[in-house]
Amino acid sequence: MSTTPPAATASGLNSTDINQVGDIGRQPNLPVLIAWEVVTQGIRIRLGRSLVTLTSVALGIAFLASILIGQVVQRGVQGERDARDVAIRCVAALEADLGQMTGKRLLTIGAPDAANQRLLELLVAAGAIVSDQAQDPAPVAATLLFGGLGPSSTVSGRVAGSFTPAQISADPVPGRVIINFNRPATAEELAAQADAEYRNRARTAWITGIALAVTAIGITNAMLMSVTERFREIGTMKCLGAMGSFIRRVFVIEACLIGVAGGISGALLGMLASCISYGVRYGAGMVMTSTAWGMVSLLLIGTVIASVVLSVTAAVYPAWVAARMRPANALRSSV
Amino acid sequence: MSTLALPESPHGLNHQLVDELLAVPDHGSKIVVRAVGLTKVYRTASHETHALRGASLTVKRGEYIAIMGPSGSGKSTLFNLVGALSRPTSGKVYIDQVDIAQLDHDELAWLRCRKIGYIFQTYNLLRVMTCLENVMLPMAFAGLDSDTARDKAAWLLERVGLGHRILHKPTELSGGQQQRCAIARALANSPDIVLADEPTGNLDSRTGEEMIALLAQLQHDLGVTVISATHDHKMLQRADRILWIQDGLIVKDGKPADLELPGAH
Repeated sequence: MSTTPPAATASGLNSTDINQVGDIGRQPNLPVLIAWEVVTQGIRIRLGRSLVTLTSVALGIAFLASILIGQVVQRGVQGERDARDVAIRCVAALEADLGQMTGKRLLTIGAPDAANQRLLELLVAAGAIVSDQAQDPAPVAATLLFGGLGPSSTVSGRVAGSFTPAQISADPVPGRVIINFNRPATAEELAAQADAEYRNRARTAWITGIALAVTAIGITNAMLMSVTERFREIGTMKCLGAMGSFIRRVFVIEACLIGVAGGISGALLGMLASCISYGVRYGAGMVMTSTAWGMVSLLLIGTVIASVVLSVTAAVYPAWVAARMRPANALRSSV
Repeated sequence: MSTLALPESPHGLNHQLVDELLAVPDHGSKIVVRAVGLTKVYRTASHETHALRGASLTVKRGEYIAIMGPSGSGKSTLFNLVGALSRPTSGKVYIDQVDIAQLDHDELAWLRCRKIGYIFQTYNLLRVMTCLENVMLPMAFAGLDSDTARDKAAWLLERVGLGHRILHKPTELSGGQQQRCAIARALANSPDIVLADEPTGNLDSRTGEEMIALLAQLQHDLGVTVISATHDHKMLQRADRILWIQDGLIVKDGKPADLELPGAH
């Protein structure tokens, strides 16, 4: 019979024996690898259950992503439609003044924004020749003044859904028309614009908040269930000598994996759903051209991060409770 | 490679190393468990249940002890207290001279890992792991490197008669086989004490008898202390000592032959 505890004769244990308190030692901190093994095996074996949890997370995130991305798509489509509206009215006004656009030479001054660009496209389509070269020898039928010329508060085609003939003025040179897209906004226009922006922001915040809350509750519920139904397993692991930190680590790793997988699939699903629904309503081409895709990809990343944060937060509390439980209570609990 | 990977040859064991690992530590003291005046009260909103009313016991190293008594007598509560799985309302438990009330969470984990092996009525194997991995887990918690742990686990499983099933999942095994695996797991870190809570409770009579014999065999061969809460009277023939518990008190304590036990034939 050996006179030393057997564990100490085995390799790799001596470091733990240094910290002994009286006769009692400290459990070594296990490498993350072992927790990782436990998690991946757990997910593989409980595949059906893991898929249910994953699906709950993915659906929650899909909902959030479709709401957020839907707003971006909607804003893009709305802006595009407004711009086209203004452009069509503008062309109609020009045609009323100058007759058919075919062969008419138009001079642009300043930098056209995206909405102004629509107008120029329409004009070209109607047969007009658009140029920003003032010294062009051919006579100019009309001059279009775009943004970037005057004070910062200006009415651009996009904002001013209210293009009026008042914006058209006669050039000192007879026969020439100036359409000023660069005139300073009036106080009423600025107030209306601020009011619309405020209402839009409040609506966005409300919808986003609700979507986030619904998603958070769904994910919390799924994670809570998947942890509490394993209290017995946690109790068993504690009997075998698992420290609380190990158990917490197992559940945090698992929640991270579920959060990432559910987040990515949910975000893509949500984007697809909102794009398809707007595509059916306004046409795929409209959605493709008018959506701010940079914003959409930012939202995709954001919702995946939200998924991980929500999943981990929701798993940490029950895992913490389980890790602190007396093993007898954990073993007794049945969910 | 996975840390819990399967061995390429489970039978290529280093028996000398395994024997050394399984040797029972001798700390000089003959008393391995001492419990003094244990009480446990479970409180619910409406009433209090006194599960234990002042139980005291002493267990010597290497004994095979059966805690017996009718259901609801406090057997499982005593099991939980002696096994450091819950705290007594009053009284003290010493395991190897250490008052376990003084230990923090992590020290308790150390104690449960190395000093005590647990066997449950419901086996409580982790079903996501193979038998081998189940037995290796407590050794992983103890920080043993996985090669040594795998050798020892394979040897233990052979020892309990599961040598041919080490790569099976618990769900693929019969109740008796699962309990054998649980016994191997309980012995993984060469504990001073093996605590068994109704180890035969879910088994048929013959398998239960096999389990009791296996425990007695291991207690004899490895010199491990076995404390088993049970109401299985087959335990009477094997146990060195019976503690008869009734209404939260230990009312009889002695060799099976010396005791007049209710219901014993």
